[in-house]
Amino acid sequence: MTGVSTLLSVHDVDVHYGQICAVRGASLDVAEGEVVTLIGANGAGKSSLINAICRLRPCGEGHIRFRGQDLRALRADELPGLGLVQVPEGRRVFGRLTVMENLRLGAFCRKAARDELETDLAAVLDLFPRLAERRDQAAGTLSGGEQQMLAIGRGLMAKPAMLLLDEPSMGLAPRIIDVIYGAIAAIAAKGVSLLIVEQNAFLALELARRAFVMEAGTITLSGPAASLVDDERVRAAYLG
Amino acid sequence: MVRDMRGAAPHSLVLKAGLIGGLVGVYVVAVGVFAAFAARPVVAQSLSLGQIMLLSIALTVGWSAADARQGRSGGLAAAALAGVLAGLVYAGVLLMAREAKLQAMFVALTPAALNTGLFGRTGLAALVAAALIAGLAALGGGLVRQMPAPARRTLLAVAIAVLVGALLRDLWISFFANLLGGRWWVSTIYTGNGLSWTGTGVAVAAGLAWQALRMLGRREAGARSTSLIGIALLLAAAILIPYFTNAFVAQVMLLVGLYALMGTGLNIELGLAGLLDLGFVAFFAIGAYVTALLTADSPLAIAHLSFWEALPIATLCAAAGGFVFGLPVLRVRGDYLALATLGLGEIVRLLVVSDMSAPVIGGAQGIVGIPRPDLAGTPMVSQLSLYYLTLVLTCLVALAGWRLQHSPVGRAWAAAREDEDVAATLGIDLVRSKLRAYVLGAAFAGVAGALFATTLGSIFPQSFKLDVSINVLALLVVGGLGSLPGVFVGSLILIGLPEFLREFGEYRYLFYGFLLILVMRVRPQGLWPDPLQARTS
Ligand SMILES: Nc1ncnc2c1ncn2[C@@H]1O[C@H](COP(=O)(O)OP(=O)(O)O)[C@@H](O)[C@H]1O
Ligand SMILES: [Mg+2]
Repeated sequence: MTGVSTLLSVHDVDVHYGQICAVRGASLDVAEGEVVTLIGANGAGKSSLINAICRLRPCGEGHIRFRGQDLRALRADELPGLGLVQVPEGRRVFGRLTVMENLRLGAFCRKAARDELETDLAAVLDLFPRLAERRDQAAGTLSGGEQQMLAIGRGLMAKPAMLLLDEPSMGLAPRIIDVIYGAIAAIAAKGVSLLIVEQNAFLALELARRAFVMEAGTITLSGPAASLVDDERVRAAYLG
Repeated sequence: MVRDMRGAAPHSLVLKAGLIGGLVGVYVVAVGVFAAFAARPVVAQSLSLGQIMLLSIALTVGWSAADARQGRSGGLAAAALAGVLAGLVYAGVLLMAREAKLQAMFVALTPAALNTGLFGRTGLAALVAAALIAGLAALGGGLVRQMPAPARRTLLAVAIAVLVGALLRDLWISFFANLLGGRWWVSTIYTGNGLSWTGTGVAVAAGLAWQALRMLGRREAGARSTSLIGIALLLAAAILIPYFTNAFVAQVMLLVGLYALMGTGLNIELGLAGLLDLGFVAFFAIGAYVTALLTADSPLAIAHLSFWEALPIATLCAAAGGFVFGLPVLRVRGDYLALATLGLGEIVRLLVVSDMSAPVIGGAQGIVGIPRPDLAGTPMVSQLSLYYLTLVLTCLVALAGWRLQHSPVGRAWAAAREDEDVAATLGIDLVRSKLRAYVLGAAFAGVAGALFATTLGSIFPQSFKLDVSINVLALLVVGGLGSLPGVFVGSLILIGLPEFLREFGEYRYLFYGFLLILVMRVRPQGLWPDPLQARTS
């Protein structure tokens, strides 16, 4: 990892829900421009870790640094301004707002000029032409795949340095998953760092350079994605 | 036919609908609502409001009994049966009440009331008449239920047109007399207190025309231009009707405008930001008292400013009140916020009436001698000019509300209302966003308070009770949460209508309650919902 600077580093983080310990001593890191995937079964604690990074959940000791700055001193709403944006699990678009309003909300953290915003909107609609056709439709009436596109597009409107994608393929048909992953690859190609959380890890492992595997709240394996694809344990558990 | 025979009529449903319907009818007569409404003719001398009420009870009985599972004719039979049962229960109980001379217990059960309630008949004849009429009306209810929706809506529009024509008679009379050239119209359309047959025809035609326009508008134009036309019509009516009618109408419309102004404020808090604020009246009070103290010709006054100078100060004070109170309270979530704000409203009311504050703001005696606003050197004294002042301010505030709704700030409110966590991850500071909504809502309430003080000329603590907050809340819900035109429609119906129905005394609040329940059951999204909210909820 010499020569590339670390963008996000998480070290020894715990997440508790009351007495339940969902994440114990998790550490991971993502370099500038890198695509990393975090894979694990349902309930492993992946979303809990992501939410701790985004300051939506308190975490125990340890540290979470983004560009060297300790995030634990910040509130959730201060992170997108730094360039760290989450695309939440289950899409969670604002159902009663239109597609365009959802996208504009993504840019809330920016003090951008009008034309700059319009250019970025056009770029997102270019990436997801299906959103362009539905620009004035209420987001709640979109299909699951379109909502996922909208959630990613909304995240992009913040001009993030890094996107945390929590299970972008959840509940989608294989054909739609391919479209989504095509777009994710295009985003990565533009130099945005990605941390992709997945249960079904095949596409994520193909795209990522490195991978972390989480089991029952702890990170049990990590390494180059290519080597994990061939790992017996990973094959059995996550690739079917 | 085979299908219609399948499945016997659910007797329990018929029994239940009939019994409940009959007892509701008895209740209506026993508490005196029927007698009050029976004195009000609607169509010529042949149909009174009281009769319409009884008929609609029977109609509802038929509607509920005509369950779709029984097929077409089965449903109609069930409806008619339930109606007959309701009529028998109704007449039976009333006949017994007549024998038992229950007037000591139910003051309203006068012999006269019983007589009209029983169609002027006695014994068996009364039973037969009630069963027959209720059965037919219930059959009608069943038919209505089985009609295709457009036909049903047309019927509803006609019924509403006839009721509006008859009940708002005074309003229409002064309107016709002033606008359309004279008394001739009035004497053709009305006889005595109700519509004449010609008038009924005119009302039916108006209802049909209205429905046709609506259907045409829906087909020809998009939702956006329909609502623009609607807003234009609303505005034209708001400008013209008080001008062409009389001072009483202007006075009522002034109240409607005042509540619409408050509604616009609460709409920002509740409709846009999702904050349930039950202490809204507190900021209305601050606006009113600051205006009074700054302008009144009274020993309590602390300055002698003009209304125009006092208005911004009062608005700012209300906003500051919102800030000071909102800062600690807005960290509280959901239901607790409603309770905390309810507390604030009460605190302000108690402060205002308390002896402690009497030397400063007058206590229970209030503050009198608040001058009317000046326009180009002359005070605006007529109700009409004060109404136009209110209308202009309300429109300005509504415009501001509209701009806010479609700005990043408004979108942030909507986002936080739908999903606080996701809103936060997009960079929305939740506390700050809510505080902004709360302060703006308070400021708008302050404007309304200032207007209230200057238009009434005196203010008393009784005017700042919880009812005000509740009324504003109710008008928002009836109009459609988050919808600006809805605020006006809600205010017109919940604040304006009861004023025009004053002749019904306390019973007019029956309309109010009935309307609230009806809207919640039939149109939970409100009478004029925000297009997007209506589509997805
Ligand atoms: N809000 C919560 N309250 C209590 N327990 C929770 C909550 N959210 C998640 N958990 C628990 O924490 C564990 C990890 O959940 P999660 O982080 O959602 O897993 P994953 O995203 O890997 O599927 C699970 O056992 C889950 O039941
Ligand atoms: Mg998860």
